Amino acid sequence: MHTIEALMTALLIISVVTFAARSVPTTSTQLSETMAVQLKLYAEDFLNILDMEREDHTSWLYHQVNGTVNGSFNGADEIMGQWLKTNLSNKGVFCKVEILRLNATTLTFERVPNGTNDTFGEPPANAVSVWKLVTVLDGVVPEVYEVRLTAWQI
Amino acid sequence: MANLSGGARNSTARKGQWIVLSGLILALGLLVVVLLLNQALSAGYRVSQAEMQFPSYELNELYEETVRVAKLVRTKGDFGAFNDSMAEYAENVSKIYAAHGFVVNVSMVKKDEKSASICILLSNEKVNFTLGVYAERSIPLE
Repeated sequence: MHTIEALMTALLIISVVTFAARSVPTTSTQLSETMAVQLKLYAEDFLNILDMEREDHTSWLYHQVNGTVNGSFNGADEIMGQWLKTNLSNKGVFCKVEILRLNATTLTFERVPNGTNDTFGEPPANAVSVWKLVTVLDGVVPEVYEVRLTAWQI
Repeated sequence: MANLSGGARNSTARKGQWIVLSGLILALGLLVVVLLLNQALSAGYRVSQAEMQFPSYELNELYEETVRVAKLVRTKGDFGAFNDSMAEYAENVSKIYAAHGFVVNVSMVKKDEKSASICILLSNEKVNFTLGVYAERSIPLE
């Protein structure tokens, strides 16, 4: 009896549902970018805490880098050990640690020996990299290293 | 009889209008809910975009590290060669920042035993930051 009216109503509701559904892909892209920012902030906060300045102007991170490049221990393993003490890996957030030095002639980063820990494997394409400078003073020559943390979530 | 049948037609038409009206109200309600949801998500997205686009972390890192190295050179290094050590650091750090897509120029000159003047320039396609270029900026070395 009311076929035309029912059809009109159905059409109206279907068009609105289609509009809502079409806005979903944009939303999921936005959410993945928001997740990337969250990961970036986690990694930045983690490195900032490790690099908190001590009274002698060094930091825990400074000693790890110094020990790796001038000593005999693996600073990347130590940094990963600190990461595992957080609850981030329980939440599915994993990382790769690298201690790098810049090759001044090629302008590319090189890994220092014992300066890599990839316990969780190679990072996926959507991983987020954060870096922190650590300057080790060797006599009068300051040597700048980069501690790079690549974080991702599964 | 004619009146009666006319009344029945009117009542049927009114019922049809109610169906269309309820559909319209439902559709509008859904539209408003979706718009509100999108707006809330969009606000979070814009905030996160600001975090990604403005290199505040890199800026802060450059300033903090430069000041820390200056203090390290004073306490652990050869304070007589302060300007040379800082020039070496500035060269290294500008190359590292260049590898990350920034143009960086840092200079730090000893003023006296307890302070130095600092000058920092950092720029990329979005930011052009200067510190101590137009007005002198001193930092304590203790």
